[in-house]
Amino acid sequence: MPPEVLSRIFSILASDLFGRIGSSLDWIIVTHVCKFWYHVARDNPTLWSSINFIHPRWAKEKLTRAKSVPLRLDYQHNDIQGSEKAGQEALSLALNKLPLIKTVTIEGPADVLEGFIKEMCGLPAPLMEDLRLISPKGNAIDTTAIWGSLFNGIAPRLKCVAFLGVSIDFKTTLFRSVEVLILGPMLHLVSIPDMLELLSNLPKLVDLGLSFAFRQPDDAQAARLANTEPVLMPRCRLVQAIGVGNDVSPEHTVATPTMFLRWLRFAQPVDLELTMSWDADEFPAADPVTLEQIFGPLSSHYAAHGTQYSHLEVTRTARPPMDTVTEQIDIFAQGKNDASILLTFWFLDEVHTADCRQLVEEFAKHLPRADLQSVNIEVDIGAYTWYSLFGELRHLQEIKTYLYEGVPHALLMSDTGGHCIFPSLTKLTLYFDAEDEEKSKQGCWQRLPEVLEFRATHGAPVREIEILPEDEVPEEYLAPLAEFVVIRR
Amino acid sequence: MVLLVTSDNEQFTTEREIVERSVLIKNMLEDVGETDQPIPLPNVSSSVLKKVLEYCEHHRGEPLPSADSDQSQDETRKRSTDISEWDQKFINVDQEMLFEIILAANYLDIKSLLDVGCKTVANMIKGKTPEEIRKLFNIVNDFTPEEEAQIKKENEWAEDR
Repeated sequence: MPPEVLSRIFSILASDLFGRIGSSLDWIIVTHVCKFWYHVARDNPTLWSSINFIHPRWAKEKLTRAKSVPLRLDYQHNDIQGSEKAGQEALSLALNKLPLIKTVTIEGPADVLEGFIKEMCGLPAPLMEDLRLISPKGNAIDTTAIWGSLFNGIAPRLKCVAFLGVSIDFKTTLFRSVEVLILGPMLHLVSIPDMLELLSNLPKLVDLGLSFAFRQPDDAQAARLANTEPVLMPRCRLVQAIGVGNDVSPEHTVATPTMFLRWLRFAQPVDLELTMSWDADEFPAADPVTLEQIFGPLSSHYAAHGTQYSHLEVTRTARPPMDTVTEQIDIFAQGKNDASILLTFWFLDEVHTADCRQLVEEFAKHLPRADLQSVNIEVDIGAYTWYSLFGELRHLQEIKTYLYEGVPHALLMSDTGGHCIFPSLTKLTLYFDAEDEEKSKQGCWQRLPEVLEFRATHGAPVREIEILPEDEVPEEYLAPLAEFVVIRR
Repeated sequence: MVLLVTSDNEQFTTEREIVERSVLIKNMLEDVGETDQPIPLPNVSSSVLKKVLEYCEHHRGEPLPSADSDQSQDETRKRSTDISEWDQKFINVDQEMLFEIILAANYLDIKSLLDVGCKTVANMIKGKTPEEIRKLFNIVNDFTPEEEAQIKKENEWAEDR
């Protein structure tokens, strides 16, 4: 076998799920087979170029074997086995090869991280594509001062940047080629004009993730902002804002990322994913946070300009505020986008079922029903509610739900023409809760074969059932279903 | 149509679109232009070329991998050991034929076929001990005990990871 072919086989063995070579080391068994195989493996530097620092001496050895090929570095301070100092020395050695580094992730305490960031100053990083710097929560560092010399200002291939707990220089032009930007909490609250300045220097940005709070503008700043030109993001397709609810303090000293979004303009439909989680104790019932606070200004903006949402996922809303639900739905209803809408209702357990039901009804009444392809209803809304709220959804392809009694009932219903409801439905995702008999009644599972047969004979066969979690459902529940559908567990 | 001549002097006439999945032959045809002259393939036997052409025929019209996708093995190009169902059936041959196909794919520069072959060998190696690998491929262990000890020492951090 020619060395180049054998080397190719080794690189396949050494690839991980993401196609990166050498991050797993199970493959090095091949170096024990014979001298030829040993030398082929040793002489292919790319096989050694993905380096973690769990074992510092091994990291140094791989660094030597990698010779002058592009490097991928992954330093997790807490994972180092043995001397932390040795781990840091090994990373320093690797960072000396900055012009060869293609990706680098460094996660560690503020002082350690700060030291490494300084080591990345002065030398250019012409191959650098992916830079991730992570300081643990509550341990943010301010590296603004050294930003001018990071990579000596040269990183023309930088595509992905993730900074969590690390402050950045909002005036930097180092990110002009960046397509993915993920920013987490910084040492200080971020001002909206600063962030706008940063984004105005990112013409290629496709994916923006924000998980921090902005500083609430005072009256004078707010007046200036009112006259600020929005930033156009011509290529942006995805905006994720995480932890929004936590940022809405009762004192209103901070502003949410959704508020910030008012100053952005997109050239195409954007997937907007808002993950909100706030603690009911933090916001007492007398003064609940409302969606108005979070969405209100954004809603008005998009109501005026036409929505550009193509996907809104609202998750973990512990206290669904009813008063502004309708307004949110209006945004969907006025939508000009032609993308499908995935609407997920995902409530924490403490929310009263009746409240959830009311919320589902409110949403459903106003939805642009024809577009809806998937619903995820984790509350017991009963068969009639299923029918009255969702019965007209002719394009609905998937239902995700617990198997409450109402679900088989609904799936057995037909309209006045004798056609079963949800004619496009092909997939059921069923959550199973072994602890909660209401959610996973045996009788409901026993009705499923009847449901599947009915739908198959009425021209709307269910082709797939996915069950989550995958290992808890008793086999006797599943066996009767096997003949009808593919069951994924 | 293109005429190919194998190492055992058998002639194969095939469509240009099919045979141009081989970068080697594609370049040759571009260099010589329209010709009736046979293309000699001294490194490929007729039994192997038959298999190779079967593969090219099945995958005709599919996009070819870009020229630089193979250059850097550290690229993010996905290299899992997954093989499509048809390819699995196609490559389900004895070990000698498997290696012949790999060598032919390498010589003819058909990257997708080379990948199928290499992935198949990688799957055969996965999870085996060095001794099992030697036995499978009939490889002689030519390490001295000292060399073996040295390699074990070199790799000790990786192996106790």
